[in-house]
Amino acid sequence: MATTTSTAKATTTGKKVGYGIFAFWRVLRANPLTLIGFLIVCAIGISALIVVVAPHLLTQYGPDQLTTDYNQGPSWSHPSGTDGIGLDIYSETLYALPLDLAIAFAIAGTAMIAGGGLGLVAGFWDRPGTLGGAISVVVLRITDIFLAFPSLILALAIAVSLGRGVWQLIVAILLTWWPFYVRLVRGETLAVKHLPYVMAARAAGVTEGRIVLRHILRNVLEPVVVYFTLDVGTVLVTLSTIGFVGLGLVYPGQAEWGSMMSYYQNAGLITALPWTVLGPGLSIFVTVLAFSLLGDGLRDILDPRSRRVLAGTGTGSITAAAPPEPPVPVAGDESDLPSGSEAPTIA
Amino acid sequence: MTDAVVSIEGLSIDYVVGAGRFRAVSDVTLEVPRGHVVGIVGETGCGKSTLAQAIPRLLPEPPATIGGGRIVFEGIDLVKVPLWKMPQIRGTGINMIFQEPLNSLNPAFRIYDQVAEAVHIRHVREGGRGNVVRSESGPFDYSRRADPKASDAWAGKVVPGGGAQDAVRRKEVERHSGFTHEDLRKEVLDYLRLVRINDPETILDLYPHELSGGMRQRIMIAMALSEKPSLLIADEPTSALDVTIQAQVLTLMKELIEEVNTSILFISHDLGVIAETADELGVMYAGKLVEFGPVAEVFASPRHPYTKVLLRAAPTRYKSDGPLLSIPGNVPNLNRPPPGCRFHPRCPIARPVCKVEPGPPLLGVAGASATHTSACHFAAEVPQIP
Amino acid sequence: MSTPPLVEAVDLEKHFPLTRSATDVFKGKARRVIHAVDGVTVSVMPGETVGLIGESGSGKTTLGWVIARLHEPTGGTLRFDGADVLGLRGTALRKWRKNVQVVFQDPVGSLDPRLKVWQIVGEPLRAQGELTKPQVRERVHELLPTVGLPPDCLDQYPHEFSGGGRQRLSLARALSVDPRLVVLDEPTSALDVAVQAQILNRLVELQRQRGFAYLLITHNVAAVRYVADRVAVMYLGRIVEVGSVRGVLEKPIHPYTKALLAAVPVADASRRRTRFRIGGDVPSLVDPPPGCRFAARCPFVIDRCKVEYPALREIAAAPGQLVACHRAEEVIDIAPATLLTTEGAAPAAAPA
Repeated sequence: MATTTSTAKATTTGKKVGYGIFAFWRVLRANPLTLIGFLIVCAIGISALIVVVAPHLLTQYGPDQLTTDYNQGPSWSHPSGTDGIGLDIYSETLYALPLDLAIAFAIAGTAMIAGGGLGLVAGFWDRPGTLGGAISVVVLRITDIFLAFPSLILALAIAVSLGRGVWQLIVAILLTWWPFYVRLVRGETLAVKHLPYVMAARAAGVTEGRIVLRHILRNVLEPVVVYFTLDVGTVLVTLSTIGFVGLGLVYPGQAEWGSMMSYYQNAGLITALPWTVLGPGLSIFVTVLAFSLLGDGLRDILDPRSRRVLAGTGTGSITAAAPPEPPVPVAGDESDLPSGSEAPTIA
Repeated sequence: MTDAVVSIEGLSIDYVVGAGRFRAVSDVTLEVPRGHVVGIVGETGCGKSTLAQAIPRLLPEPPATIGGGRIVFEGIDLVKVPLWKMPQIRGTGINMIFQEPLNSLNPAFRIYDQVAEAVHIRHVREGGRGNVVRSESGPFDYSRRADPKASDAWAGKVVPGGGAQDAVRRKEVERHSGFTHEDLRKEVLDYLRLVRINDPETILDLYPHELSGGMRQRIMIAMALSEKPSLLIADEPTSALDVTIQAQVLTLMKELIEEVNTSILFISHDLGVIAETADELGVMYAGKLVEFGPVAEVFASPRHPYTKVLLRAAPTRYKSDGPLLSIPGNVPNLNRPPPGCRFHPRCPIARPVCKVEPGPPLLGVAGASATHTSACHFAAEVPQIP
Repeated sequence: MSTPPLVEAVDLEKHFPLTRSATDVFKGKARRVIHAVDGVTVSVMPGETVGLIGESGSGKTTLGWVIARLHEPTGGTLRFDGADVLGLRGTALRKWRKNVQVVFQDPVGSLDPRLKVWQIVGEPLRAQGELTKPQVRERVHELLPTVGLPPDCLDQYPHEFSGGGRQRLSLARALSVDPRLVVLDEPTSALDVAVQAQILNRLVELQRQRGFAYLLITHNVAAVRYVADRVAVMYLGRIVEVGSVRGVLEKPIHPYTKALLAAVPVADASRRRTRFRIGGDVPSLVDPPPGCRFAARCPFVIDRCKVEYPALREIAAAPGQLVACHRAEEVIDIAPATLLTTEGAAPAAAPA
């Protein structure tokens, strides 16, 4: 159920190993913060997987298992202590992990696909006077309407009307989340669609649909993936907030970090037993931080040009450190030779 | 040795990028004599723009560093001046105009405001109220530089000020510089007329995007000259313009060179443009200065093989019989420059010693005038290359 | 002329509409239009090179794109091999596209940075749908040396090449489908002088081997002199002079052609003394002036020029050359160099 977290691996495959895993690893090494983010995200993902499949590896307690240790502080058998009814906070936090991750990914992922798809269409087929133009205008205006509402308030309102539960939570946040992707993808599409290589593809006889999928989508994907990674963190905070306010899932029952915090708050435990926040609160913090660090560094990983600069195998000309007149590859004869892994440059 | 407004001695500029460090400009020694126009020519990647931007220390210093050498301007070594003090020298000491006027003019301000800002800076410094960098010979004396003399046909008329143009607030102007608001306006109009804009009053209220490329470039030149710099660096000022507009702006520059008391360092990749404007010419290749000398002489008899083949490949020398003469090979990768002379892999007269010994620092050439120097071991043989 | 022209454009027009503001719509004002290409008649014979010179705003790039059917013309006819092509749509149009390919001006923007060389160069082949992927790779492998690139760079990315290398990639892409006409849109303007010469040499050689036609759009007069057989000079959306390269460039008739040739900087130190005397800027493309469009800047202008548009015609003194000037017979002998005066005469007007 828990989805793996790192999307970065999938996009760097290439025929040669040079552009594949090793380059990816070198870039990560060059960027220590991104590396930390990546490792934590991996750890979270693996933990989520283990919790679903074989939870006994990580904790001795089952889900919602009551112990007789009430109100105990952190100890060897209870790393985060216990709460007022005897639940081990650490275990509960762990059981909440896959659910939280799954919900966050479901929301962000669906928003990305649905909103992104709409944005692509609205950006590419937007000539006024055509059907595409009309659809584009309608989509944009609806997006504007949704964006006019503060997203959290709107999500709360929808959550109230829908009631409590996992699907209700997902729908409530999703409805306020998709417009951001529409704007993002549309902006990127507009920037790309006038570039000469799109015109060249048209001149080559490529159909419009293929142009969108092959040229536009690939070049638009990168900022979207970066935004998505950062967004998972934001969604997580939003859904925890809804839980904290009391409109999310019911706890004890369904373990979810926000609703755990809400329960502790209502039971007055946060002030009485301060270690209760260690479980869910700390988890939210660490997870969001990890995704943020990873997302920030992801852009550099995905761009084939920056990959080389960061890995230190060439002198790149994309980053802000670029010299105004980049060096040109060596050649021995008339033709222009790219010299293997040394070459970088833009004319 | 004539008095030089700026003297560059052994300057090297390095870039630290990612894991590497490469030398964009190696050991360049060059002088701009006062009142002269010195042209620097070279292809992409030769370091001429880097050099141009390094003189007023405009390069972003974290990736770029000065790896050695001196830049002596009016007795002050600019390499030693801390960056935060450089604005005191820029503008009125060294000014610069760039290639793309749309990017160099602020799109959010009207023309009047932009030119007035430049004039105002100069007023402040002339009035003695601005901070000045001190050199061994004393602070910069602004009063001693002559006014540009516009030709008689352009005697300006003063139109009383007022209206939306006066965004530069009156009181502040007068308080800061000691000059009145009317003086400021009059000067702005004078400088716009100097660059041959008829009826400059009509464009004062316009924004840069409402004007054509040629007009914008003229305004840039007006802004630069209105600060009466000792040295004006022009970095490819006409490369982005259409052919006929380029010719107009070059004509303007030729006339201004005669009228205005400013030395110019003119950077271009176009040999024709340099031929039309410069007194002396320096040729750069792969970060090094390979030849320097009076323009007419360098064109008529170049003493470095690179200059020779570059001239041969120039479009105006295209002939229809047989393929065009180009330079075989490519500009070297500055990360790993060729050992010895950097041009030797492509040089028609390369010898074994060229692979080992870097070319000499610029040496005078026998049989040429005193200022003609070349960085080739075999400068005397260059005239024999067909 | 027994062979039909490869490309024949008659009175081709391409107007771009400007959006109106709400008040304009309210007042019922007509939509204003950019007259990018305003009635151009030109033809290209199989295997020949036609140069199209002009500055920005002349419409030369738009004309090239219209001929390649990348823009739909708003008027006129376009025939290819005698058959009308404006009626082609959909699949028929896509199949036709292999006859006319384009090499674009911007070496950076014209290659998709996320695709590898073999995908970029092989794209027209794959779009035509006749070859499989390994076959496309094979074709690209054979094609790269013909443009001067090493055959084993198939899996590199465009950013690893210099400007000249990228233009060669664009050229290889254009040639991959064996087109009959290649439209070259400023192929050398972003390149260094030495690389320009290499590319031009390569273009000439390829044409000699393969026999396709070129439409060379550029402002670089020397390139046209070297590569082209005929040349057309465009100004503000219309052709003002057309003829053989030798004729037009050595004895230009139209004042604008003279101005263009005089304006090119020459690597000759005696040019220090010359002053270019044609002032003014290109007038607006939206509301072109009535009469001859060069009248505002022309040194030989008479009253008739401002009112009546001169038709493209042949004059007795220069057979085979067409020129659109009322005073063609009188100005034909005035050399371009006279537009560069050496004395300090009154400067030319520079209107705002």
